[in-house]
Amino acid sequence: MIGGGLSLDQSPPFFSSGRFFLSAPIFIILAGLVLVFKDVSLVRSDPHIVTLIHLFTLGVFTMIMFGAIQQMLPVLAGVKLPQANLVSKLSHIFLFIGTLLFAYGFLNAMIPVVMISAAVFLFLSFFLVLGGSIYAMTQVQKFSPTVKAMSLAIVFGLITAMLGSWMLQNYVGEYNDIHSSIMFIHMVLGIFGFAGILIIGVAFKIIPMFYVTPGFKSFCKSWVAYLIVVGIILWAIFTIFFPSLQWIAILVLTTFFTAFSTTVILKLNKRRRPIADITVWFWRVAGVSLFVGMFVTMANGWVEADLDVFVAVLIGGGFLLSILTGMLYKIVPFLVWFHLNAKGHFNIPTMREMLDKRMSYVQFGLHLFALISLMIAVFYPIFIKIAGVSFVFSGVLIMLNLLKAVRVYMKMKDVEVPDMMAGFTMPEVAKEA
Amino acid sequence: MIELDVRDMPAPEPMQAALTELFKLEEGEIIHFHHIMVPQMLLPRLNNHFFEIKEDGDDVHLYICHKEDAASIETIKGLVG
Repeated sequence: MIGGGLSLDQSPPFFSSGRFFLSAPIFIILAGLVLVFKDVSLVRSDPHIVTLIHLFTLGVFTMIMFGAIQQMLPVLAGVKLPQANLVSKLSHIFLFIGTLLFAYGFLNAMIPVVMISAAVFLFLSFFLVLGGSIYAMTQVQKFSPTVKAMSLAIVFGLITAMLGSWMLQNYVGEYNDIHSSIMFIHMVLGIFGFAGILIIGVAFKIIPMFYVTPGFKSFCKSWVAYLIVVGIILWAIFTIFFPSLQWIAILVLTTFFTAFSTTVILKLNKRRRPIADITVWFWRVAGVSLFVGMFVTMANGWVEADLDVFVAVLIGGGFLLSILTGMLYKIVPFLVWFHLNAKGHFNIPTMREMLDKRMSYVQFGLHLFALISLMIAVFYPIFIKIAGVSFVFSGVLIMLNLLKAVRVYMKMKDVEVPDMMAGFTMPEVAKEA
Repeated sequence: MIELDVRDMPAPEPMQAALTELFKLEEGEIIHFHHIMVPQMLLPRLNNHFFEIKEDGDDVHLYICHKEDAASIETIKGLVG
């Protein structure tokens, strides 16, 4: 039972999370430009590939997840970051600049001052958002499965950032033997621990909330995140001490991530209001990509062929990029609706009306085409450029579509509302600039 | 009691439905808002109301009445135990 004394002014201003969501497409475009204009070869050690991976993981995934964390903490956990507005502005600019410096550094023979600056900016950004989130979590009254998963993800995010910063300064100094093991752990923690667990935890709430599906089973909500943590810790330990046993950890992660992906697809097929919605297709592609991607990850250790590109495209692109893009199409219109409504507006376009449906379907096609092109590029390198062009247009379309929703907000936010609505505004939101 | 079961509504329809009912709420009436999560974003809009929340597994029951409506407040307190 929660009484009337609950803190009432929880919602951060529109652009607190909005600035993160609107920046993400810029980095999809930049990643596409790297593929088009740089001489990229699809091997992990190529600096262009390192740049490309981090334009996505930092510029797109982290950008969206930081925006989502700041938005979701009040909605799902009932708490918000201390100095939320300031933290949002600083962490956003640090992440933006840090990612650009990172890309510039890797594309230009790792200029020491650039790499160190990138490490500092990026770490500060992670520290502000994730450190602030940990502090905020200490105020949580009830730890739901979603909040527990968010907490675990946040801890993994901080460790990922620390390892990443260490590696960036290590590139500048003497290359260390342990570097490749740390890099592998950094990658596993970032993808599965930070992004994977955060998405799973948030999915427990937002899939039933936005798509009106049956809820997730108690076992799933209570245990999946912890079991994934076990898999990740095993993977880290085996990577350093017993490399031949890595397959056990991969099997554990494969089991629970594929169980999650199957559950998501089944839930979406049981929607109580099965209306056409492009974001459902993003979730479906994500579910299938994760399912296939985890099996390819397992096979990668057993077959002679190098399947790294397929693993990266399926899990990074097919799973993470798909879900996060789909979420942009839900969260941004929702925020516009919510903030206008909180100012007392009742005559607001629906979330569907705020976006151009055709544009989102074309973008979905470009997104899929880019991912498939990258996999074909393993055999026909010309497809690297084709994938790059697709990413550029895909990013431009996401940006235009999101700006269409933001224009609705900008147009209506200062319009006077009738006095009779005054009692139904949210004081914090109503005074937003 | 005004029954408002929003469990089958996608966001943001539950909030919209709640605000519509709140707008019409009269002295002596109680809204029983039945949802799948605590509506954190709705709570700041209840400054002029009394409310209590009861969680029952995955179901959340939010009871709302006017702040000065002593009889309804007593009824709500009885409902949430």
